[in-house]
Amino acid sequence: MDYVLYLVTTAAIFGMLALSLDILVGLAGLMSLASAVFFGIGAYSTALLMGHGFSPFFCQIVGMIVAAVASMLIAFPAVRIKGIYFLIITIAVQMVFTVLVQNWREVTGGDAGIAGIAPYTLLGHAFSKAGFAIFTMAVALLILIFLLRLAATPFGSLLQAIRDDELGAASLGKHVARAKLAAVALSSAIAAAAGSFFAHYSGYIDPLSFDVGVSIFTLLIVMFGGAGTLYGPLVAAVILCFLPELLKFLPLSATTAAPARQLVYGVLLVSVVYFRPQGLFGRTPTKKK
Amino acid sequence: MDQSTLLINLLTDGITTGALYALVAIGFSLLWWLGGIIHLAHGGVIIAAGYAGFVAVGLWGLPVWLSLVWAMGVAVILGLLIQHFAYHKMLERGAGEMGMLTISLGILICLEYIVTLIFGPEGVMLDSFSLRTPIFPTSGYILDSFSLIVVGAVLLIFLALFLFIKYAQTGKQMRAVAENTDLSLALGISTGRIAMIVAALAAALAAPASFVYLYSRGLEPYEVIHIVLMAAIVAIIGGRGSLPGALLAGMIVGVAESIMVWFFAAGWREFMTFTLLYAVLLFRPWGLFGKPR
Amino acid sequence: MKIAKGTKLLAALSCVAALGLGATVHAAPDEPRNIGFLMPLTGGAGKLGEMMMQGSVLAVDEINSKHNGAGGRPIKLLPEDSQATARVSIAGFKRLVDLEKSEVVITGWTSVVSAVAPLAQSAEVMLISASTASPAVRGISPYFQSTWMFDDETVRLILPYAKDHLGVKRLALMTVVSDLGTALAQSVKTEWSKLGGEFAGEEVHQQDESNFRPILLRLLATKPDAIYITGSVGRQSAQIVRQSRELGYKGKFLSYGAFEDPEVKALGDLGENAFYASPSFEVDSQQPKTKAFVEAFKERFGRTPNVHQANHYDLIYIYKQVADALAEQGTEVTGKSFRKYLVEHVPQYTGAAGTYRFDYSDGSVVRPTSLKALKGGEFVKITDLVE
Repeated sequence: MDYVLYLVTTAAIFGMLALSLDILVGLAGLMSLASAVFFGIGAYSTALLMGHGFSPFFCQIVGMIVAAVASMLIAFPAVRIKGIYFLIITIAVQMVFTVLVQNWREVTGGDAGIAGIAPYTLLGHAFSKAGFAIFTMAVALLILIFLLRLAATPFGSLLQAIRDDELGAASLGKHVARAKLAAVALSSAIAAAAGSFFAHYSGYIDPLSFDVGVSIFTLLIVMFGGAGTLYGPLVAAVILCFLPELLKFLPLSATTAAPARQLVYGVLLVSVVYFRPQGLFGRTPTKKK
Repeated sequence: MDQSTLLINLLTDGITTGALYALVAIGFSLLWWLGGIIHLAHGGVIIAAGYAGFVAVGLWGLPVWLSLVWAMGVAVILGLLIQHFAYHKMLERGAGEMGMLTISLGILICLEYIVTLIFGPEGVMLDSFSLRTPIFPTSGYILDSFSLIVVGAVLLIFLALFLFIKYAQTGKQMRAVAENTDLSLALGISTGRIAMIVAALAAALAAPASFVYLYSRGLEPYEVIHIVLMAAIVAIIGGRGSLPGALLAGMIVGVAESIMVWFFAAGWREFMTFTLLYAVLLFRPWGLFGKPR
Repeated sequence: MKIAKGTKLLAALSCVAALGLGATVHAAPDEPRNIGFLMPLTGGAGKLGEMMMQGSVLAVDEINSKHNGAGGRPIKLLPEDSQATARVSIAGFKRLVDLEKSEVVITGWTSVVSAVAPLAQSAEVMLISASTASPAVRGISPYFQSTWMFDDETVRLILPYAKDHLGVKRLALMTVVSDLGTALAQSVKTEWSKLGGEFAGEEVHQQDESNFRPILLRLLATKPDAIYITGSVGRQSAQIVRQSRELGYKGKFLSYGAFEDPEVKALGDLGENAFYASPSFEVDSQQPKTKAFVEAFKERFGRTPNVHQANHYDLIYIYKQVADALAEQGTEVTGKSFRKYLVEHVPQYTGAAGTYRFDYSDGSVVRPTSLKALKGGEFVKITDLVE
């Protein structure tokens, strides 16, 4: 039972991360492979500040602010150029982040990571295993509802307009760059919040928990669930976090199990985007051209 | 070895590395130039070619030139399959930029892990020791045949490509399609056929690149993302559609990486490469020789 | 659509909850004893982990077929990939303990141990390791015991020998960016200056570096007699040796136990003049346990074993020793009882890889150490280095 709770909590945390990425990929049309960076900023902020006796909530907020500001600074030059370059920049940012965290050892502990992060408490109240699973799921659902509402606001409509036709939106006088930056900041903040939960839950973090593989996995969740649907990625997070357990029943040797799992992710990614590009829950797209 | 000799050695090393980067970049760059496709899967083609080459030389004992031909064959088949069944079909289905990027990324991951499943994660390499003896052993300058071969080969390849694209009929058609696909169609150029040719060409170039990796630092499956990222960065810095750009950008990045050692600990090397990319995208996003659009 | 999504979610969760509950139904008495094997099986260190596993697998099969299991029940080795990273190993550990009910887990690699030790402590699961070299885990938890000597100690053994007998005057360092690398580098610098040796220079490199030529160029310009390699990945160490030789370096290399790796062995002649400190393990030793192990290994896997495989073979037999004793006492084998028995009754152990003298106060161990080198494509012992 403990193990199931572990999977549920992990799914909730990755669900939040996937939701944060869907803001960029699904709503704003910006492909990013740097979600793990802001996930990591949230986690490391929490890990470092907790050591100084601040409350988990405070550390989380600080992490979110740092992530939002950092993301805006990084994205600032990038939002003015075409989408393709944006992706390459996010990959570059991801790689640099990993190198930075590995090398800035006085602060991040380098490859050894940071251990002994206390569990999350809210207003002094600690969570049981089941309690935390429910709590994180609830937060994920709250984020989902918030984003669904957001998508329906003028800001949300603007993002989707930018996704569908950037030149058109710009020609209408809309502040395209500003909207993109806002989306980036919001996305990073949510990713950082998820990262905080992750740090508290794992009790231990290291650079490899936030490498490009995690970003790719998050992208898979979003594409699998249906970019832009918001609830699709959340459901997909649950499915994809539980998936490795199903694979355990296959007669694979230990050495082939892990690359096999990664291969399954790759195959899923290709299949989804090929046969059902709208993901599990997306609307069937109207054919262009 | 005094400081000036060290500097020259670092430069030599950088130019050799730079030639490799340019070669890797050009395969990536060709599909970007022709149809705006971000061919992340190029990393997968490189690794497939590399492992094919390793099997030929290391396991079957074939001579290097024959193994290279074999690796090119494998790469070209793979490249054509990707071009037709992935990119072409996706475009037919009306896939947008995001879909194309995702499928390319997905294919890259699949190739990485198929290779890992078959051959294991630890990577492969081949011994080039006989080519590595310095030509001027007593001077302290480290220049060996390997470097000369690599740089020479890359320059030749670039020259051949350049002449082909400039003067050959097919080359001119490629340029036409790259400039304006619709107009080329209207003019009767078979854009589908051109796309296949370009894909084959890009894939063929993956083989010599993979061999350089094999003989110098080895090829490991989990490096594919890094390899294709370098390709993308060099292609961007060089400018879309520019052969001289890719060559020059490759050299700059390669030399910068080596010289970085002069000033900083090796760990920050990546940082520098990405800062370079950043600066280019900030001030001159169309790259060194690209056209501002 | 929103209603349907909620229902789907609930359905998915219920299915898996049911699966999970099913898995926690308690095991019958004749069930095998599960020993977790939380080691890198994929990724950069995967080959090492797989290789080490062969030693354990051999022991498990022997014990089950010839020795009536451990404590009267067969043992089952449960490989779980750690990928040598914290995140994956935490998940793997939870799987081994919560799902598979392992009470004892074989593990290794500093990042893994750092992450998993607190979990092991709260779950009262015993961790034993023959593949953690960094002094950073010294004293990390009473539930962690190493059977591999921490390598800051082997530095203190090899450097005096290098100075006195190998003619090394100027020493250089290739430091890998990691806790282990920093600890070793520190140890080397302190020890070398204590001996009054000259320090040529230090170069720092990433864990996954494959092209060392630029930094080697700079390091070789300082004209060292020997280069100490701190990396723990055989492939990398082999690359450093190879690329140094290609650049014309004629001096020596020094390292520690991780150097004994198939990739390094493959260097052949290029690897001449490379020395390392390793727990004493001689393939042609006449010690009965060693000899029996080597023969059994050769028969099963078709090649001679190395020290790591011997270590992991011994780990299983140590388990057996404790499990047998506990069963005789009528005590159930739990992480807690396992540890208690070890601390109270097993101050040392002699196995295929020699004698282990445990220090349970900080999880360390002392083992006879030798100086070995690569000669003629084989790892051979040069001399004993004390103890």
